[in-house]
Amino acid sequence: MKNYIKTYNVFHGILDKLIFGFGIPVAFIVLFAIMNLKFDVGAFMVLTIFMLLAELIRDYFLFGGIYSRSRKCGALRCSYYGEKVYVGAIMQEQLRSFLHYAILMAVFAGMRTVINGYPGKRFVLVCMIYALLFYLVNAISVNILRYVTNFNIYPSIMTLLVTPGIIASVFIYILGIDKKTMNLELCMAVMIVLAIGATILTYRHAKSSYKKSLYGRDNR
Amino acid sequence: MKIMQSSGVPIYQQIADNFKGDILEGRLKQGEYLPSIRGLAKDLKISVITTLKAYEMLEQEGLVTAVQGKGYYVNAQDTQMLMEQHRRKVEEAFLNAIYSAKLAGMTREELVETLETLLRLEEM
Amino acid sequence: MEFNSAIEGKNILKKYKNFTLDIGELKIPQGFATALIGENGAGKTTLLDILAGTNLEYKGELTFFGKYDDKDREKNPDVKNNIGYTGTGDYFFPRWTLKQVEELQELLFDGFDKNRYRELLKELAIVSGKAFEDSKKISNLSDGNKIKLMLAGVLARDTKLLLLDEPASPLDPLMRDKLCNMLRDYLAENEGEKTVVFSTHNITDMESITDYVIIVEQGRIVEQGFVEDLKEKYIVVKGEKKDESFASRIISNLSSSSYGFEGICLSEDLDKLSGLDIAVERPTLSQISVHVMKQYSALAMVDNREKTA
Repeated sequence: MKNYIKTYNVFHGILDKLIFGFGIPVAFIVLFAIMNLKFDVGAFMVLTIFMLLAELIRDYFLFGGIYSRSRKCGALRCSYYGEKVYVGAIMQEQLRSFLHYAILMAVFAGMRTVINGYPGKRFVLVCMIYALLFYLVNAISVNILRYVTNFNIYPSIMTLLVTPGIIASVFIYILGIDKKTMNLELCMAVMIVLAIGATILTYRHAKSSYKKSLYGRDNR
Repeated sequence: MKIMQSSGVPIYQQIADNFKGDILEGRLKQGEYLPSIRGLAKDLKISVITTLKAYEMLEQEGLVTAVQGKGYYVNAQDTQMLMEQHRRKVEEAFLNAIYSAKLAGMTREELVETLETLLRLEEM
Repeated sequence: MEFNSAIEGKNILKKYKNFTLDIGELKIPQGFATALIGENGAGKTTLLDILAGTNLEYKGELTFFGKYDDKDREKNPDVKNNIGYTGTGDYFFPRWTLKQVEELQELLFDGFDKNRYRELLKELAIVSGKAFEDSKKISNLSDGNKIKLMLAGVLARDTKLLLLDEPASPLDPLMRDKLCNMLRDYLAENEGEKTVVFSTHNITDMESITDYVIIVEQGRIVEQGFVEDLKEKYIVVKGEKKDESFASRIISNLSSSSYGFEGICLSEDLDKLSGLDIAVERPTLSQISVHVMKQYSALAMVDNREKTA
């Protein structure tokens, strides 16, 4: 356990822990509380965008370029435990991001209940679907973005990757809560499968990118 | 031990000569070990191979014996004979000096004086 | 001379588009400091990467410490734990802080001694003053300090072999001296057990510590041996202007001035120059290296091609 905490600390500085572990979630909750008093769909959309973009920008400072061939840490590669630490760090990040989304959605649902009364089973399901959806979009995006070593082109790629997630979240809200025409249980099952798939993909991708870094590079 | 980096005499030679002197004059006694190769290299700030070469020279001359894993110890010396060899070297060097002095037209007194001056400098 | 090998290699082959590393036989003597000398791009870094296991795309056999092969290196922690490697480029992720790098090394290497590490950082003047600057980023360190940080990391571990890629280049003369002393200390621990390999293209800086030399040019080993042996194999010859044209037949890469010539040749060829009014001198390692490199360097090849064309 001690080593897991250490591994986590290697990739996560104190500033990161403070801002993203505490500051941003609190800001979201406050924002949500304010907006929830007025409009529903808009609130969710704005929050989705903010949350995803913030998570992705943060990922740049933690892992940016770690999959790319130009940024390979010699210290990891010359160590027997290099792969373990590398893949371990990335999977830890997956777990953390999932918990982050799940807890945030739980807090939103709770607040909504406190402010407007119990919104019904469908609303709770939509919240759970959202947690999975955000996790999914986040996982797919970081797998691509971790190749990018240059921050300047980061925002454009990031926006492109996040857009489908935002559109999906709006549809789910409209069809799931406003119109009540969507089979939310089925949607939930699909999301779970996709989220597991994305997790496996991330794991294999991390492993293969580490392996790749040990092969063929011309830097005499 | 003084090591001159650019005296023209190879460093391994200087080290070997130094230990030779120590052995012949009894400062290193029979059965005593020379300093470890890498320890000496570290102290003299020279490479390991140079020290090794010096020790191998001493071994070839029969002054020391190598023991695997332990280092080099000083052999019993036939001091008389070695001293004799050294005396002969000194005589040779003096003959050379006398020859050169003649070429340079130095008088006997000048030659002796030069030797005394050099001896004094050496003592300093 | 007989010696045990810390690393042995056979038929190591690695191909790139415009470059092939082809090492028929490699032996790194255990207990000595070995210098890999060669021009930029000669293949020194590639060879060190292959030995350290940071590059696995090659063909050939490797033996470590007389008993492990390169598959054991990936399977048995004893191999990589006993090898301290420092490389050029991103050794640490540039955004990591000193604190994170310290924790990382505790995770990556068995036998990493944190207290020793901190002492070394002080000794190498990476952290000045009283406080260990936990939050200082790697990207904010100078090139010299980056090298020193890596060196502190490998020296704070319990290793048997150091593979150092260009450790001296970014260091100032004072620090180079310090590096040499630290490496001598390392070699003197457990008399004869520990081995150092470093690459350099500036041999003068490291001459006082080099025991064994491997000169690499265009991906091949073109000369190797213990320094003292090489200094007897080659000899520096100086002579008068009048003998220059004759001497140039024996001595390749002869340099001439209006007063005479100077060059380096094999000691065994010295007989061929008998009769000439020449003076000879024991060469320095730099003189030998430059001589050998000139014969095999990419630049020389171009020159020769132009001459024959």
